[in-house]
Amino acid sequence: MSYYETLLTIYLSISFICCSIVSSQYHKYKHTPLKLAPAILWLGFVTEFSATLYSNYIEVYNGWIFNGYTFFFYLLLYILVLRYLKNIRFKITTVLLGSAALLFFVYRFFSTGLYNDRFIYANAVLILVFLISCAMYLAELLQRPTQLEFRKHPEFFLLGGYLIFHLIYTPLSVAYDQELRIFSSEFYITLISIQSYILIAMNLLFIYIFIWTRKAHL
Amino acid sequence: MDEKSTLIIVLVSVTILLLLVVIVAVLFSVFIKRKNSLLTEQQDAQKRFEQEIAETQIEIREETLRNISWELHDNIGQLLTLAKIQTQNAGSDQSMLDEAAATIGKGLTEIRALSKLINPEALNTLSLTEALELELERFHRMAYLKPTLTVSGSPIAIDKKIEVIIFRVLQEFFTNTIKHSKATTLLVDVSYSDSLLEVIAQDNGVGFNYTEARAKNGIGLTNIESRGKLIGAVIAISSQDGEGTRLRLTYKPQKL
Repeated sequence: MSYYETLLTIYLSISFICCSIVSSQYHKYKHTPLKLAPAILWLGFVTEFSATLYSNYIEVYNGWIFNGYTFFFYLLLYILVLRYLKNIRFKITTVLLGSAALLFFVYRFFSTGLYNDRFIYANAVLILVFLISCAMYLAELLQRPTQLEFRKHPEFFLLGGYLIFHLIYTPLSVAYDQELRIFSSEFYITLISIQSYILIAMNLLFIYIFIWTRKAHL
Repeated sequence: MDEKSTLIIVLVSVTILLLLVVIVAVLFSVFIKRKNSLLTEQQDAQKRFEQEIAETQIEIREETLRNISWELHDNIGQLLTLAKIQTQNAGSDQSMLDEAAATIGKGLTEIRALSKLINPEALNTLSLTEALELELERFHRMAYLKPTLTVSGSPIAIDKKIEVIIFRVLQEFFTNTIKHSKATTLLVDVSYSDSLLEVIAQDNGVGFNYTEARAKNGIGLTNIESRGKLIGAVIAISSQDGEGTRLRLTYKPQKL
């Protein structure tokens, strides 16, 4: 691991741990579905940390750790969106699509090589379902006969942040897959840099949102 | 495909996706902003309406108290005074005592009629035409002028709050007629047709120059027009010097 990569990993870990701590400290959301947020964030930190350790001390390829993380991350994320949705049709759609996407992911997990597959298709399906459920949530927000105050809707930013990151990650994951086969380490570092900076920016946004938003009354 | 072109494709894809997300976020916030301002306007309108209803109810109560005061002083008070004089002068004359008893009886009838006005629930329980009938009957009893009420068609369902405002608009018109017009007759025609209420009130008084009065921003006219606007009713007042005054109110209940 180069000096630059180490530095990036440190920054990333700091942003992850800070975000997780801040999310755990803010009890103003404990009565809302957002109480799942600390679990999602801590899961990210633990995954990043263990993947770095695994890569440095056991084996270079740590993709399976991220694949395992992806399953639980999306499971929690779908539950989060599901709890925020009020329209019964949207709820049923999310449950059906989410279950199908997760089942497809599990199928891929067991049917392809764990150590050399980045689950591009399975990831794309998961992000697509997440995108659809977010769109349903936005549509529901627009339909509600009450005023929407962004400051009382931290979930809007949390879901938006994850959506942005995972949408951007999709072309990156395709490139990662190429890189594993043919490209140089410089190319890999460029991809890692883009991903890390976006993740750091997302974590900083989450920290700000957790502090800035007001207690929501659901 | 070489490294450079792959990197360019990745960067372009990332940028396009980011831009798409930004566009969606901007559009969403614009929609939310519009929705919020629309909701604020609706809430403000509702608040104004509730406030106007409250003010109208207070005005109706004040008007009622004023009417009671007039009736006590000009009507019942006079009758009781007359009865007092009659009993004082009667001595042992039975016919005079009967006259005094008849006067007291008349006074009692007036008091009973008055009690209908005092009942605060009266306007809430009465329909618009019943309330108008009561009001016009009072004008007749007090000999202010000769009122006539005609009702045609089957009454349509109108929100009670709106009926209160319509009644208050008409009451304001009647008060102006009695106070300023020197009219001897007042015709009120209420007609219901095809989910539409039309009320025409017309007096034969001295009239006034509507354009001048409107320019002076008379409170009575302003109140009548602003209240009509508030409930979505169309109000047309027409008057000329020496030709009486006519008010036409049309209201179509909005379907929710």
